[in-house]
Amino acid sequence: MVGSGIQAGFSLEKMVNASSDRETRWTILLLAAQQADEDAYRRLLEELKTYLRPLLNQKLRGSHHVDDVTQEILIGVHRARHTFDGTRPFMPWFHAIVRYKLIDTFRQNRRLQDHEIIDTDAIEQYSETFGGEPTKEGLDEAVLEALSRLPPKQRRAVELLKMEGKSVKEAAVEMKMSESAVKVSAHRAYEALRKRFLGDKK
Amino acid sequence: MNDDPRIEMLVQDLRKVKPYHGRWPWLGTVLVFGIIFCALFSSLVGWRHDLASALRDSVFMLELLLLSGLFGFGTVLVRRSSVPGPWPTQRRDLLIVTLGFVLLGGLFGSHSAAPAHTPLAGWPCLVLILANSALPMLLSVLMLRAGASTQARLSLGLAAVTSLGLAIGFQHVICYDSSASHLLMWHLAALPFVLGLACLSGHRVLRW
Repeated sequence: MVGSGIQAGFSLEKMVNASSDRETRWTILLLAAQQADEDAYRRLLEELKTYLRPLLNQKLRGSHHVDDVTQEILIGVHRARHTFDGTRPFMPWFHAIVRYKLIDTFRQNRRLQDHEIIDTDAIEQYSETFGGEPTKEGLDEAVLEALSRLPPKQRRAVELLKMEGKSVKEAAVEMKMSESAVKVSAHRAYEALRKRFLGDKK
Repeated sequence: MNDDPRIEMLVQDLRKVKPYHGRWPWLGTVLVFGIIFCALFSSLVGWRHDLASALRDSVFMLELLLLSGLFGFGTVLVRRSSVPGPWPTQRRDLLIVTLGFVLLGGLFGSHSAAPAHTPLAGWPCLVLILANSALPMLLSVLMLRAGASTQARLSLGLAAVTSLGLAIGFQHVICYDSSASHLLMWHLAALPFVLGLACLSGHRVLRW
């Protein structure tokens, strides 16, 4: 069995190269990754990323979320790697993670879109509050001034997500924070901005 | 070296992992801690005064056996649901659990004893069952969170039903009211409530 081969100390490179099919190769690489073999893990993630791209392009019809979902799935593999049992096939285990992360991402995006509708309302109400059509410069100035009053982490989260159009994952890497922490910072910033422009009204 | 910083970040985070809990260590842990807690809790509340004669009743013993079986089987299923991958016997397994509870309801319904309480006075049983199931439930959730369930609602629902099964069994040796109406109303009342709660919160509690 593959797992026993790894444990018996066979050369990983030889075993990987000898394996003709993808599934056996990925099983060997993941078992090696469970033993903290960084090269095997890097290779596995690279191969999974390459494998996922056309699959997700097809499922998401070329949406701009492909990159985000790919990363979510790789993070999922990372978090669930200890549950992989070398005596069982790799692909069903992996595809269960892919399906789970796809559904999770759809759910999150739907929630995010719901929030974004509120933001549009806020902009409309903003223009009503200040009378007539605000000039772009006026709005920018007010927003930039409000942004400058935010704590540095919150401000950076808004800049990366909304002004530079980065994904949560990219912002997390840049800010050296977890994705959840970035989301929380951004959420707090939106709340602070909403309060500033609309008072406590929702 | 890889040119994708996100992959590199995951590689930097790589550590040797311990194998995930096997089926038997999982079952053993939940059985031992769950039973010890429920037994201690029940003895604090006090065993029913007619326990010796109840133990000679075949229906009572059958109910306890059924609840023990459901607890053991359910615990194995909870562990199974915590690992990604195919579960070919899922429908059959869930049907067995459902039929087990239906059978339990049938056994409870077959009791002919006169109620010891007025119908509405039985609510402490509901509270005791919920309290008694809390620690086994917490234990199951902690173990589930160490896994990677791709069916969070199912996993949490099974954990809830399994813990309740154990608590209902212990409540059976605490509560002396053996009337069908009391057992059906107050000993099984927590099931739909806890199942609903598990289905609603499963995704949040077991997100990974």
